Amino acid sequence: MAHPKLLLCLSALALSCSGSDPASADRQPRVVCTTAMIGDLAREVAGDTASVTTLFGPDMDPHLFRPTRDDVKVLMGADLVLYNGLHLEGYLTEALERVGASGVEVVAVAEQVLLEDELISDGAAPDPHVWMDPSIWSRVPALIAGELTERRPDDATALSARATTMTARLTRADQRFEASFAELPRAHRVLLTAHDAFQYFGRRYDLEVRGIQGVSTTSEASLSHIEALVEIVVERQIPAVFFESTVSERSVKALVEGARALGQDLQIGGVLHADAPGSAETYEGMLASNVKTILGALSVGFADAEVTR
Amino acid sequence: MTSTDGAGQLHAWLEVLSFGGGYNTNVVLAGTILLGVSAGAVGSFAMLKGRALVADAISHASLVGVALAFLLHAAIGLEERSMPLLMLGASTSAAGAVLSIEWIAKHTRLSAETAVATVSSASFGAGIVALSAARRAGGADRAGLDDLIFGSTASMTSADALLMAALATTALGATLVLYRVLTAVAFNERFARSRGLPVRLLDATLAALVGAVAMAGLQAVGMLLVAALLVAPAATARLWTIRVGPMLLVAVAVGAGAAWTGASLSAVTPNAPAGPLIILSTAVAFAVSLLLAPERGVLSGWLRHRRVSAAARRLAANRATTSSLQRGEEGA
Repeated sequence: MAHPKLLLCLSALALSCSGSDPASADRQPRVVCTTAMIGDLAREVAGDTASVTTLFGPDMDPHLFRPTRDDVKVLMGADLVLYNGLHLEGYLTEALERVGASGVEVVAVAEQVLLEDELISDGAAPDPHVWMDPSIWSRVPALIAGELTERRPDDATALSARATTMTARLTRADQRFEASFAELPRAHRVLLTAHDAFQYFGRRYDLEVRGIQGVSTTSEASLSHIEALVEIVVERQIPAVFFESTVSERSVKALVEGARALGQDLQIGGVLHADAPGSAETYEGMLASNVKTILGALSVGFADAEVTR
Repeated sequence: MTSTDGAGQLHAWLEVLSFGGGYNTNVVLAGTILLGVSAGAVGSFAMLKGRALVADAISHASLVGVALAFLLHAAIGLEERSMPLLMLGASTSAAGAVLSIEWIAKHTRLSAETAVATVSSASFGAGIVALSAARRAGGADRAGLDDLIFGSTASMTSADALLMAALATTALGATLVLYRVLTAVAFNERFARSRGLPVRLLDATLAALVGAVAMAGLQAVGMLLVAALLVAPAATARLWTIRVGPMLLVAVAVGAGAAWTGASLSAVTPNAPAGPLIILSTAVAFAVSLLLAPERGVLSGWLRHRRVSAAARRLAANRATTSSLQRGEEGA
């Protein structure tokens, strides 16, 4: 059974190598994703129907990523580019536009899956951290399957089956997280982080979110903003602030010192993965690790505060 | 409404100026004022030696060192960033920059200015390349290497402020101890050499002091602005006096005053970063001095010019009357 298929594949490969039909439907399409949050899902959905490359490393801050000539070459050589959009890929946006203009299909995943009334924005700037809400991000597998089916119509059933499995997995994770956060008392639900990446997460699980830096990591925290946060921390007796794997630790340490000077023992709750999975390695791993870190620090921390009061 | 708002703002600013703001504000104020003091003292001698811009080259070069040290970090598998290692990298590359400048100035026919400009921009290029490599190695963003370019004044902690205090003590101490010899070397190197002063050692000491200030300033105001902190207070002081002692005092006062003004303004203004405001304050001090300083100021120059030309006109008018009288006499 397998032999004729293999032969067919080989002959197709030979055909495409000879250059007679470079856009052959049997050649593995090359998919380039910017972030791991997209790349991981694309790899799951694609299986062996496409080769998937992720541009940003696991510890890289997408806001600060500057493309090299090699990166542009990788993008130019792709059949399909999946990026986040909403200005997440600050310095790369221009290169993506040029790649799109040269005929490569370029899809802004976050902009596609977000319904109109779901967008969060900070004044004029849209918040790009959509993947933080898995109930929204679970629509991404279907989007990817649709894009890939256009290139591999024969694999339509397999692609859509894998997308459905993936979506179900994300939905289950989302429900699990929701149940865990529901146990956290309302007064404990304040999430204080290095930069403003957790608005979608906070909206989904009913947490109040405060960031030391703005939506993008490129903005420097002003002195008046740090003072204002210290006041909030002391007033609300917030027990923990979190590092992020791609954001400078300095501003968090300054905040901790400021709060301790006023008698509020602000702890560092651990490292959250906001813009890249870091040591959590995958998108799902990153979500699970964040939830565990936040629940651990906030439930224990507040319990202690109540005992001492 | 706006006037009461303005009065409220002013009141808030005065409160911060008198260290009545929050804890973080006071830490940043103390740290930056101490940095301003060091920069004023050290910058004065650097300027007198004609090496004011060496600070720029040093700060640019230290970026290369920090990024390379960070890569070494990643290579030997350190998780947390180690400040001593980063500082070692920075000082090594900064020393390399200073030696290159001196070598180019001495062994080629190019001017010292050209040497500084070349080394400075070459270092910046190398720094950005090394920084991109460090970012790809991972973890550079969390270590805040990008902060070093523009600085992160608002995130200063008490440890940073203590470092600034140690630096200011060293800089002021060294200046007081070496005051006479540094002045001699700055004004007449050949004379200093003939008197048997260790000129090269003193040069190296001065370069080390400039380097220390530049590196402390990296965290506070960033690589791009730290040179201004070393140059502007000294240049401002130079407008007011030509004597070294008073000049040092004015430079220290301008450095400290600018840090005080800039940092406190940032504390009461939303979204105003402290580092750039401090540098702007030094620029304002310089501009005002340029206008108002006695002897070398624009205003006094203009007044002098008017006095002189009025005198010249009077003289010319006198001459004219005399000569016309003479002609009248001759005609008669």
